[in-house]
Amino acid sequence: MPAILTPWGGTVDLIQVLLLAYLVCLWVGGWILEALARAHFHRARRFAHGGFTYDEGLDRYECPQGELLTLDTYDDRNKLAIYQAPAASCNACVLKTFCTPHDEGRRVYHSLAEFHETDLGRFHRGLSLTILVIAVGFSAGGLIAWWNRPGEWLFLIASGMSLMMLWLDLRDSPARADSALSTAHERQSWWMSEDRGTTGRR
Amino acid sequence: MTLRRPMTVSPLWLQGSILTFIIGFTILAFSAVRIYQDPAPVPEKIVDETGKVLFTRQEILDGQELFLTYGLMQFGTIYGHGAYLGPDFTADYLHREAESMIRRYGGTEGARGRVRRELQENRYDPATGTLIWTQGQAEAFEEIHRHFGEMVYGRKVSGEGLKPAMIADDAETRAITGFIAWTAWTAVARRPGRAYSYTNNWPPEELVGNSLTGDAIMWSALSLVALLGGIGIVLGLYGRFSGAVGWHETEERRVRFVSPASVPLTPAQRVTAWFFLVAAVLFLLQNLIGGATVHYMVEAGGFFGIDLPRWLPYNLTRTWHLQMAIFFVATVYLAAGIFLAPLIAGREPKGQWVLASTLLGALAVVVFGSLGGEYLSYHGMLPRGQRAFLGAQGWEYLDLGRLWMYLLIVGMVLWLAIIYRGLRPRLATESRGNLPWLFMYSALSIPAFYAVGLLTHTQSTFAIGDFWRFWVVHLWVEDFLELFTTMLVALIFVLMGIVSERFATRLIYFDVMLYSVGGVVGTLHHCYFSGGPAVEMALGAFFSAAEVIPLTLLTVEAWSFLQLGNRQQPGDVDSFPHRWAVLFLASVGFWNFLGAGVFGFLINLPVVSYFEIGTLLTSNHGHAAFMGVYGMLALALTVFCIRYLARPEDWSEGLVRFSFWATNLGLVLMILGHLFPLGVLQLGDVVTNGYWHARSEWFRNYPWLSWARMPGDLVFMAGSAPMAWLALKVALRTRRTIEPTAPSESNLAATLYTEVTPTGATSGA
Repeated sequence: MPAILTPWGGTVDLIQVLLLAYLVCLWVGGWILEALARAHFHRARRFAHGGFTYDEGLDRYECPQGELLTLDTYDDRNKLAIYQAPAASCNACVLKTFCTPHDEGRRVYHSLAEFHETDLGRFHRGLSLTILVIAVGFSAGGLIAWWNRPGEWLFLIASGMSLMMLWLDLRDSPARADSALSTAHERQSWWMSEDRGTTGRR
Repeated sequence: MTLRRPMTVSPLWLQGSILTFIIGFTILAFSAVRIYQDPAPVPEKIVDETGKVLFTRQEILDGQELFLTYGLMQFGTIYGHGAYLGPDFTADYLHREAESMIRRYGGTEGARGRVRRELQENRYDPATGTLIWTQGQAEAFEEIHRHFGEMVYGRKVSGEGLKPAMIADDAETRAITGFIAWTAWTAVARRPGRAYSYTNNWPPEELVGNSLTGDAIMWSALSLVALLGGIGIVLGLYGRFSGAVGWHETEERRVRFVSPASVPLTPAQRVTAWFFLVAAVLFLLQNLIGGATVHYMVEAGGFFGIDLPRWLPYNLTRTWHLQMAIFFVATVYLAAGIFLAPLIAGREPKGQWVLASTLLGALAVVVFGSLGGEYLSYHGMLPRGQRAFLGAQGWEYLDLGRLWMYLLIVGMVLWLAIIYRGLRPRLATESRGNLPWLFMYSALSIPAFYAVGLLTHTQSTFAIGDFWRFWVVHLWVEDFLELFTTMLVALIFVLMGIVSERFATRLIYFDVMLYSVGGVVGTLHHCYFSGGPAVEMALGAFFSAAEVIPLTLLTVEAWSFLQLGNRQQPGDVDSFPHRWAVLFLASVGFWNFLGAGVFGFLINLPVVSYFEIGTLLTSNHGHAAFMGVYGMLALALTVFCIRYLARPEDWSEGLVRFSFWATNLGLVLMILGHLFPLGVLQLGDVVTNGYWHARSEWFRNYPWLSWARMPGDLVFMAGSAPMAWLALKVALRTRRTIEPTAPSESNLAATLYTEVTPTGATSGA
């Protein structure tokens, strides 16, 4: 492999540059993977209430026809808040056949589980962690290959970066269940609290 | 007369699908006509300057047949197509020929120019069918024949993954070299009236003046413009209007799953337990044989000191690795079709299990018969006349002997009959545009498009044989299996209550249109450099780039769609029995995006393909797309179906969980820890040192990177073992049959779940 001149006067092998570039791709790739997966997750979640807007302050949905869907039920086991529109309004709506198959009023199911608490989140997190493990492997391989040779310091830095990226990702992983679970419990507690006047079915 | 249920979606969906389908196949039919009109010619005879006949047309075609039936396309490549351990025979011959001639002419700069002119000059006379080679070309042929004799045909000891004395007959080896020499001639001789060769100047080779053609650059540039513009427009329109066209579902349903142990099983469904066992065993064997195959990259002479090539040379293990992958997926698809039919129809006709058992027997005969035939053919244990029929045809992916191919098609037709018989009562009451009929059509496309492979013969002119081969490899595998995949997933989601029948139907029509727009004509991107007419390049370049537009949409859509299963959030295992099946489906979404999408599109453009074809980046795409999409889907279907077939005490969530994580993470390690980085380095070597160099065991320069494959392979293999164990238990102790349920009235049978109202009461059945 040919050598490349660096701005500070030294040279690095092209293979070193390629390896470092690949490491950057792996670091960024792991992050992009999770970001994309999270976006698809939320998109799949929105699937059931496309066109409905959620007002977080008032905790209600508004349908494209302007009807409001208020909190009806909280499903503790499945971490699910269910909103429902008045049956009479839905049954009189011209869009009813495109909206709901029954006469009880359109419902929207709002999941309270965050991405990382779901199986899908864990799957994509597993993939991104594996990608970072590969980055650690390649960094270590580079360090061994160029140990005591020009460019060694590049792989020392890269190894440190790879380990740091892995550590940062692990910090957010489901393995840190305490934080994730406590967040979820806080959310559930709030949903079921007296202040909101709702415990179970309202 | 039975009153049919009207279409659940607008008839415009059906009309649009038919229209795009017709347009796509009309363009492909045009290219089929052109390829018969203008392939690279096979001369009646090739003579030297004194008029002495070097070899004839028949010897070239015999050489092609021998090349294929001895499995050399599964050792190296020809025109960049085949396996990756050995050289690209076309490029290797061309480089050696040029070097030999330069040496002979004095090795000066003038000699180089003379060699270039001699090789590029087309001395083929179509009127007499005679091709004249210069003395330099004729003598180079003898020299290269001796080289192939030492390295490939008649090795003294095992090496390069090949056994010793592989082909002993001198007439046979000479014919094979003749065929290779002819491909090298097509790669450098300029087409009449053109400044480029029959292969559009492939392979890149400085010594003979082969470089990227202006056409390749122009079509790549034009198609890039179309690609970027098209993606922007399509995604913009999609983002703006996808909600408005009813793409999104109405109200989500909440369902409670019937315990798998309570779901009635029909006799034919019980037979599928054995199909799943066959599939799981094939999957395990396919992984193990894959491990041996890739090991030849680091230890050419054997397997950890064992002289493995003597019995299982690389070309055989590679053939089995590919064929078992196809058989594994096909077996699961056949079983899933039989399993799902009674769920769709709500009943099962009498005697269906007898047909299913017959199909199982036939499948076992084809699978083990064809694998055995390939062994006999590659070891030269069959007489010449029987080799392609009983042994191996040797075209990569269509490796199996012709007899086995006939039997496989007959088997698929029998399967179609089983499905039709099972669905008939339901079909009679449904509009021909509704989901049960779509299931039937997509099932019909599987034997129909596989049968196209019969147009490829061992003695077909290479460009024509390769064209039809890619109807199977691209159209069958990448389009119609993909469509059947969408069909099965959509059906399963309907059966699981995740999406409505109307939504699933729309999705399938949408997919048909997207495949027809890009995927069908995109077949031609495999044929840029195989000696077909130049129009293949233009069409292939434009549509293979254009297919990126619908396929981007498709993979993006699928990633979300395949996550829908997870909406039925698992409270616990009993309430949601398909946790791992939907996770396998979600992994299909991810691999479809990365493997088929990113890694596939990466190598599509002619300017990229020109340097990349036949490198590990192709293998990278193949593994990530085939295993990632079809393999994971097959595992999803297996887990979904055997969940119902297993006795509760035999089911193990732990085994399936392990299998899920090991197969997915193992595949990531395999792809990103080995195939992709090594493929990029190899591509760099093609550009720097030429194609022949990058394909001449170049990867042995990076032994540590080759060994990096091992962790991923081991993890992946470990993931296949639990599935085989679980399938064995289920096959031996299948849950008892319960009488079939009564026919359903209109909607797809909702026997797997009950709908739940928010108050907790159940509604519907």
